[in-house]
Amino acid sequence: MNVHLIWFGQLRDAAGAAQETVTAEPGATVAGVLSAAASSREGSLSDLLFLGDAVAPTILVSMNDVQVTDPAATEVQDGATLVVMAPMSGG
Amino acid sequence: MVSGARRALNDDDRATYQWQMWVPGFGEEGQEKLKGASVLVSRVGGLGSVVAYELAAAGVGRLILAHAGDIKPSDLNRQLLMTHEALGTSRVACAGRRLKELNPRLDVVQVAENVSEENAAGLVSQADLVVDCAPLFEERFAMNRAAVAQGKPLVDCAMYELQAQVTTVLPGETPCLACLYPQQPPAWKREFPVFGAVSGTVACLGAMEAIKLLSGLGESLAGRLLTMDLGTMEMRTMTIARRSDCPVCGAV
Repeated sequence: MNVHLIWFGQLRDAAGAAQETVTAEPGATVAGVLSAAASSREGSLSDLLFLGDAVAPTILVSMNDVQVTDPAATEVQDGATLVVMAPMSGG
Repeated sequence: MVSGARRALNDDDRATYQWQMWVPGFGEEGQEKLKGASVLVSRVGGLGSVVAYELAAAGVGRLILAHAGDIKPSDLNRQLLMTHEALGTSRVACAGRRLKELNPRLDVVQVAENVSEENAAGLVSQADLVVDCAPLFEERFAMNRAAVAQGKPLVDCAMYELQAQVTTVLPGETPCLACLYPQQPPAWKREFPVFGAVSGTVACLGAMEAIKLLSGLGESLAGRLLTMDLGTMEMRTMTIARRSDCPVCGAV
């Protein structure tokens, strides 16, 4: 199935793209999709996204515009859009 | 909506704010609420300058501006209350002067300090509403704790590169900043890429949130996070969730 990823903030810099479409197996979790996206790249994306094996608690993820509070336990829906946001404050 | 004091309008007020009082649902009552309101703006940089300017223009009665330091050349691409002539002088003094030029009836409280654990509660206690425009998460977290403890609404504006976000925290009802970021973001840096048009865009949205909350107009971003990418001009709104174990708002 296809999943659309939109990267925000420092994650966009690390991903080297604003958005992309990836494929995932049925039953894949949000964390699994993010892990696969990070492992396909060299650089800091994985460091920004993960704290140990888990999605870092400061990373905001939404699926179809609803926040995902437990990425490891949430299955991705076919055709879903995941917005993945690094913290930003600006000023 | 914020339960603040209303202040009666005079003829000068009516002449100045006539066009916005035509907005359905706002009227003279909404203007009286703005006139009676006090708003804390944490830092008057790229975000806070424009927030403060829009709130002063809209007729908010009192602004408390907290920002340390003197104006540097690198401020001038986005901190629209600062001027070239005032380089090397106090940011908050220049901001206060510019705001009074726009609205001489405005009461401006100038605090030449950034928000911290030490001063957050005292600053928040002077305001009906807080607009969070600080560049450092330490400041944002301190202000969030004080706002939640005092039950004050907090509008959170943030940006990075061409992207930005806004949300409104209503203590006890919506996620607070610590729900969204339960720990200090390790990778955030003090200096960040920014155009003034990006910080100014999100600042106008934050100012509109404040006006709505103070006057009871429209529907706020409570429980929702508005995100925007000015590189593609795409905007999205996501629903956001409280953390039951949040150490700041979990017991509120």
